[in-house]
Amino acid sequence: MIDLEREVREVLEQRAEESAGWSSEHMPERVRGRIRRRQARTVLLSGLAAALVALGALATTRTLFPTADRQPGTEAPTPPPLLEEPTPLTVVASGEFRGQEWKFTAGRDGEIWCFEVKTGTTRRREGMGSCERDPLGHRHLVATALNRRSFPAVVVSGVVSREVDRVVFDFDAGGQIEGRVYAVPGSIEPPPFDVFLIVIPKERPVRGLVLAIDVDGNVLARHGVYETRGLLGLEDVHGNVVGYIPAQPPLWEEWAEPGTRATLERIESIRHVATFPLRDVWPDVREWWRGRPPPEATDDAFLDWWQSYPVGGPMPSSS
Amino acid sequence: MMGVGVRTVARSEERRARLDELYVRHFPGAMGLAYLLTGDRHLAEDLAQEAFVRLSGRFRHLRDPQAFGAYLRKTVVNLHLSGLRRLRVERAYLERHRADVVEMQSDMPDVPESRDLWGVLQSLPARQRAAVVLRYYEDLSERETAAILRCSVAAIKSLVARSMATLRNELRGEDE
Repeated sequence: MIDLEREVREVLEQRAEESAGWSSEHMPERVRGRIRRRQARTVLLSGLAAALVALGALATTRTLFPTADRQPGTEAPTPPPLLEEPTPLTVVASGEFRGQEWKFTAGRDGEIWCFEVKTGTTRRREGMGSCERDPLGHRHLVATALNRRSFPAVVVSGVVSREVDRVVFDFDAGGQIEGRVYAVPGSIEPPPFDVFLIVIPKERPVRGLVLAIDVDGNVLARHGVYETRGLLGLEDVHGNVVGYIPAQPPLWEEWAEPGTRATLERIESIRHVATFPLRDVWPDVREWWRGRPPPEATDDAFLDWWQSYPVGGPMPSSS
Repeated sequence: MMGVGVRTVARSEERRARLDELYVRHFPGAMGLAYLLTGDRHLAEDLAQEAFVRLSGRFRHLRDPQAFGAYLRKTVVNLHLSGLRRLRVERAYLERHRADVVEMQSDMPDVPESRDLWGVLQSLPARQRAAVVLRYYEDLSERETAAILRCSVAAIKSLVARSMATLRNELRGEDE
């Protein structure tokens, strides 16, 4: 193992060295040009956004105070100053939990959507962010959990489809915490999704499911949030934790994902995984897990079982 | 008024010089990382440039400008993985039409495939390759790698372990 690691390091270093001579000593003019064009586009978009905000503010003022701007000595609202270089991220929500702040920001940069959650005090702030071209894809829920030792809560955030009405965290041990769904603010072109955030206090183990629920109370999607505590999580293709496998060699090498289109090449892995004493299996997959074939079953029986993993999957097409 | 104009030009020059400095200091590293992730010089160049251009626009808003290199590395990896999602759609389309493709290629001679370590590394799934590159080339900890790939530390352990198992199996197959 150590030899292989060393070999991998050497190969990577050699290949990276090859690329050392490919970049010029000074920034090429085409890169500089792209930076300029990008800045110009951003300034233009921010100008448009600022103008729209100003018009909106003016219209609101006129609606609420129809005579305000006609009274002598009353100045019309001043439009917000045009930012020299706009910040692509806008604050969606912010708050305080036991004296420490959290902040959830989102924004669009060209075709890319960026999200960021930060927690902590002004002296020490920690965060996690991501940028995606299509953050939701054909799903109803994409969630990420931020669990910092310095912050007394786990902050779960992400994106949900417009069909999702509410998001809750459902503790395995019982009880729920309601999250909040927000529209992404400040977008000229609203995205086809909303964002959400749940702050889950760490008073008890944070183990359970994030549920995305529609207006009729149907659960459209779920995402497992579990602390692994040195154990290896067995996740499904959607990143949901199905169960845990003790993290000891050689089990690591037998890792496999349920629900994937298995092939005969992986049949030995699947047979092997089926012998694991999985714990903390999702409630929805308990039956599936209990129904795994006995060792003497055929390869086809194992393949069918593996592919019949019962939850998750893409959002059904509306067509 | 003149003073303002001079100050603006000076600021612009200063900004330009800072960007140049950042480029010289960080671009080769980003290029190396992009090459290890893509295995293709031109793709790597596009990827590293795109990451640099995007990040340079946000430079003034970075909480810690000293960490430009780390931000650039993260942007390269994220862009690479999001770009691959598009490729996966293209690949799914190709799979649907695989029968035609196979028929079209059936007369072509076999191309000998190099199965050296670099070749096998390139054949790893994108997230596995990214995890290996970040761990063994960038020397990031499991926690730091998990932060960049936005997954748990356990997932990183699993990605790296699966990658190493694949490498070992493939190389063993080559020896036999």
